[in-house]
Formats: sequence, structure tokens, C-alpha cells
Amino acid sequence: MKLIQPALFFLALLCLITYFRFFRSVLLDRLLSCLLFLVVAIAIVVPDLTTYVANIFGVGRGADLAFYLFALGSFFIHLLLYSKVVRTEVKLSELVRALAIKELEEQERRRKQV
Amino acid sequence: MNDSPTSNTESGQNKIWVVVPQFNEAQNIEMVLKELCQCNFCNCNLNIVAIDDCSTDGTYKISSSFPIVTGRHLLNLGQGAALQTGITYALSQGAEYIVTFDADGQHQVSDIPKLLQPLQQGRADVALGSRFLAGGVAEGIPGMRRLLLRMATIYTKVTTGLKITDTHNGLRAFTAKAAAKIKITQNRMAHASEILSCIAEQKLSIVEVPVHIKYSAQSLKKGQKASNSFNILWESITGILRR
Repeated sequence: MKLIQPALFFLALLCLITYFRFFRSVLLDRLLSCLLFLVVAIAIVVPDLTTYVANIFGVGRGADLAFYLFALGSFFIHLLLYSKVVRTEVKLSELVRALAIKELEEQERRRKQV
Repeated sequence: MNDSPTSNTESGQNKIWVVVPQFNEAQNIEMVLKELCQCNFCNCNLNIVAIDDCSTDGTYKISSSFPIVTGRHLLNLGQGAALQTGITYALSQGAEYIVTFDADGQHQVSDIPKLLQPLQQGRADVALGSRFLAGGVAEGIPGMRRLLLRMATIYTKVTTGLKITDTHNGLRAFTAKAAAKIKITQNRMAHASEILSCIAEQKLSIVEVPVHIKYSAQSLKKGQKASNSFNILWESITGILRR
């Protein structure tokens, strides 16, 4: 066993614990994160297995396959995050708008009372 | 002193609302609002709603001193957001026609009746001002700006199918029915393209009207930079994530 293996295993476990502690508590999300951790843990403990799987897909090295999957996964997560930011901005705009219109309607009400 | 805003509610005449989004236009807003308040079309005064987008130069205070409706965003969101706020409010007040009018002094009040005429005659749902139509004027427009606006018309034709000559003109008029169908979610400058996309999606009938746009050194300095066209393009493309 090389030093990188327990280091990576520990970091992966830390990620899982952090996710459980601070993020969504939906059961499906937790099951998926456990499954992902399992795949990562196996890849760390049995690195030759990644090379075997990579060869099935026509990729030379396990590390290359891991990189491709990581790149795709990162892009997907960035897209999800950007989409969430945009939706939050839309909600913020609606809130600011509602407050502005409420103030206008209050002005109109005061004007009619005068 | 803020006198009561004028209203056509009692007269039964067509209710025309002018929406003026404003942001840090302390130098121009007084002149713009003075001209709007003095105009008299179709024997009725305009209803004016100015939406201040969290200005920091006292623009809100100046516009509040006029006999108009002045609203304010607590955060700076962008011209698109201010327009939507103004349109939403105008519709809630029973507007029959809504005109969008910039606060930087580039637009001419005398163009408003030209925009309203086709709507009042039932010939179109939306009237779009164009500085490039025969009879339109783009006074003081820089060459690069003219080129970019021409390219924008090609982009609009490809993405919406609309054949129009001026895609980023803030002077527009809508019937209330058309305005209610348009939802502006692009807060910043991509809202102009979004309005056109909504018009195409909702199959609203449009007519272009020649208008006079006057550029000043100040409006050019404050206005859109050529490089911002890439941002607008990016916002338009990623606008799909808002749906």
C-alpha cells in the first residue's frame, strides 16, 4: 500500500461526512453519495481495478478514465450550481419588485386619503 | 413638493402609462420628466411611473419632486428589472397602453404619439422605435455602435425570426394585453433581446416606427460599451436556464 491511498481514502471519507453534515438530507442523495464513496474507496484500495475498467472502455489508464469522469462530473455540477444561482437571482428580483410595488401602492393609498 | 400624480381614471379615456427606469441620472432626469409632464397627447395627460434602480446620486429625490409615481428598488438589479417593475405596476393600475422611455435624455417625447398610433388603431400589439428606419434619426451615434446594432439585428433574425431594424431601442409601446404576456427575467441589458424573444414566442404583432435618438457625450459615457455586447450575448444564451 502506498501513502497516497490512505490519504485519498481519508479525504474521500471527509467529503462524505461533510456532505452528510452540511448538505441535503434527502435519502436518495445520501444513498447516491454513499454509492459514490464506495466506488471511490474501491478505486483507491484496488487501483488496478480502475485500469481493468478503463481498458474495457478503450482507455489506456485508470487515471485517465478517472480524469474524464471527473471533468464531466465537474461540468455537470457547475451547470447545476449556475442554474441555482440564476434561479436565486430571479427570486431576489421578484422580492425587490414586490417591495417596490408595495411602496408604490402605499403611496397611492396615502394620496387618495389626502 | 410632490403634487398628486395625474390620472385618467375618472375621464374614461385611454390610460397611457409611461415607464421610466432610472439609475444615476441626476443630470438628465429633471429635463426628461419635465418634458414628459408637459406633454399632452390625445387630450389627456400621461401617467408616468419612474422606477429608481437604487441610484446613489440623488436621482430618486429629483424624480420624487415631480407629480408622477416614483418607485424604488432597494437593490440595484438592472434596467430590465426596473422596466418589469414599472410595467407590472402600470398594469395593476389599469393601463391600456404602456410606453417604455429611457431616463438618459436620448428619447424624444414627440415620438410617443407616433408609437401609440398603430396600437390605438388596432394595427399592432407592440410598436418598436427604430432609429434606422427611413425617417428615423440616430444623432451622434458612434460608428462602432451602429455596426454592433446592425449585427444585433442579424442575431435577432436568427434567434427569433423577427425582421426588425433596431433591436436595442428602449423606446417601445405595448397594449396592456401584450405587456401582460411579456415577462422580463433578464435584469441587465439582455432584457432588450428577451423582450423580442417574448414577442416572437407569444406571436404578438409588431410595427416599427421611426424615432429620433439623440446621443450625448454623457449618455455615451454612461451607456453601453461595445465590449458589453459579448456579455449581452452570453446572458441571452444562458437565459435558457431561467426558464
